[in-house]
Amino acid sequence: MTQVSLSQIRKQYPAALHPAVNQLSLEIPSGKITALLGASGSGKTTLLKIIAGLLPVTEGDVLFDGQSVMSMPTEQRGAVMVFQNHLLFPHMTIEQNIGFGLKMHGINTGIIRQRVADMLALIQLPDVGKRRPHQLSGGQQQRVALARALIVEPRVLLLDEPLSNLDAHLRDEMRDLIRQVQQTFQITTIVVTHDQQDAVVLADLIALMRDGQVEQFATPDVLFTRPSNERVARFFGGVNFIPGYWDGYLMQTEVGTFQTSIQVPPGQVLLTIRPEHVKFCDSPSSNPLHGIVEMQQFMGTHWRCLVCLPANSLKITVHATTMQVRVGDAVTLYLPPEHLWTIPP
Amino acid sequence: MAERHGRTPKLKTIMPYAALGLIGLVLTAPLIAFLLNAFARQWFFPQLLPETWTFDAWGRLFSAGSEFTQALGNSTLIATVVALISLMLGLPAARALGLYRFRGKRLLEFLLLLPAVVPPLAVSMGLTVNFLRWGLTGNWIGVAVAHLVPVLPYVVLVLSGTFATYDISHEQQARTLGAKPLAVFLYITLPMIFPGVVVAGLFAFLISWSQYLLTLLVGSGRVITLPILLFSSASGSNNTTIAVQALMFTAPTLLLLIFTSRVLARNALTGLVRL
Repeated sequence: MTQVSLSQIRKQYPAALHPAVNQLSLEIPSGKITALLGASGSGKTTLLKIIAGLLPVTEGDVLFDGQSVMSMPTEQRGAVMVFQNHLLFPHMTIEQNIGFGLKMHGINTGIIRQRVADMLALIQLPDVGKRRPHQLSGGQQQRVALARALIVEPRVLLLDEPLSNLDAHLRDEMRDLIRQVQQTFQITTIVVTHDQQDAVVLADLIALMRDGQVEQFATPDVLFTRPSNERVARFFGGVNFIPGYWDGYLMQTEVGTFQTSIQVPPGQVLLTIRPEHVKFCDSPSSNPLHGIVEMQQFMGTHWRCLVCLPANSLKITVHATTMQVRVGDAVTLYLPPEHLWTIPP
Repeated sequence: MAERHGRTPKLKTIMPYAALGLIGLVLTAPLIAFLLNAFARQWFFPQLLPETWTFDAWGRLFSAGSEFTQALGNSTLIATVVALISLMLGLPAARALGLYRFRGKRLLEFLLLLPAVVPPLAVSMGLTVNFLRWGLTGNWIGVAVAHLVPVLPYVVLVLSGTFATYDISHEQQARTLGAKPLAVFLYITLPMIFPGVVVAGLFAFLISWSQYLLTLLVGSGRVITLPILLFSSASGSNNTTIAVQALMFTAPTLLLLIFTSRVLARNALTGLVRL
């Protein structure tokens, strides 16, 4: 149970034009999974290595439970990292790999053997102890790497793209395993990922990163429904953006005037609504919109529709079981006031 | 036509073996001559093989306190010390060259190779002049230090080849798991580069083992190693003595080569390819 605070971190690589991490501050709560989400080059892995003590910062401070760890070498921080390519030590057996951390902490051999057996059971690979890393599949190696990190009961667990090398069904298994062990051990966990889906499923909190800074730090549902700007909205699947003016009571746009439940100061805004929140409705009580279905696409569990409005268009997803419209139909849309959200233009 | 068709493939299959056999003969013939001579008592011109066999020369050379056992001891001591020190000095250098990119790296690599390219006589004369001033001539320590000059380039090159395919993240992984720097070196770095270290160590040993000119000049004729003894006996001793000494001189090379080809993985030789 360790709270990690990042304070005004800046990291400038010698040859780089822009800093990899730029004046970044973040309070990572204890006992939860926090995802650092962003495209490659957004500085998320750099940040992870800074927390682990593997990279020096140019400026700033890293604190564990309010105490600076900057002067502490990596091996004393208790922040264990699981690398993207799992990095099992090729010259050791699986048992030796998992027990390595305990051996380094001077734990006696008998206890190590017992704890390694427990760990192998936890990752559901009880019989691989005597094997070498290269005799295991990628998914198995990833689980061994996780066990090797967990066995030392780290203050902070750092996972660098833990799911990126796995195929679809192994991904789900690994996700569940990470969630399960995190809940069992209550370890403060920081996951780096470029995959929005992985971050949403795994993490309690997501820090969306861009150019070495945090765009928004919030729970997954807030990032979906209350994005702080257009980039965040687009990253989480937002596709409908309508420029308008908010006068404090009503939202005036090129396609109509809407009631909303938002509370922001009057001014020019960008109105947004998620595609799954727009409803087809013949006689809505408020916020009606008339348009023509321009295009539709079957996605398996749902349909995607493009509805053309007089001055703009809206993208809408409808669950397959309730899909009734066809291309060319004139339809009436209902934009529920509670699902309308505004972002700076 | 049919006959010719039948013959050509046969010739084709035989040729490589014949070539290999010829090369083998050329390479082993001197050794065979040495082997025969080493155990011959009397062996005169028309005879194909010696008439009587003996271990006399072996007993004489290996008798306690003989010139030969001392030379053997000196050679072993110097070559071992040189191998160990060159590994200690070469590892950090090779690590830097293999893992990092920095300004002047190519120049540094070139400078490191220089002693291996410059004629040995020039290197030896220069070293001797300086070693005379520092009192490093005429003793085995000075000779060992001098041997480092031709040895180090090879050690650094072999090891930097090993480091070129080495992933430093393994060390970072070990550190986050709580390993202190010394533990990282002993449990991670060393085991992972071990094949390269063995090859480099063997090279160092053999290069030192076969030094003649440097030992002669820096040792001022007072440090007698096997090559020194061998050169002097080659011009004045009987055939049996020369044969035994030559065999003993060749032995470590052969043993180490057999050992390396058998025990070491092919990837350990990546450094050698760069040579």
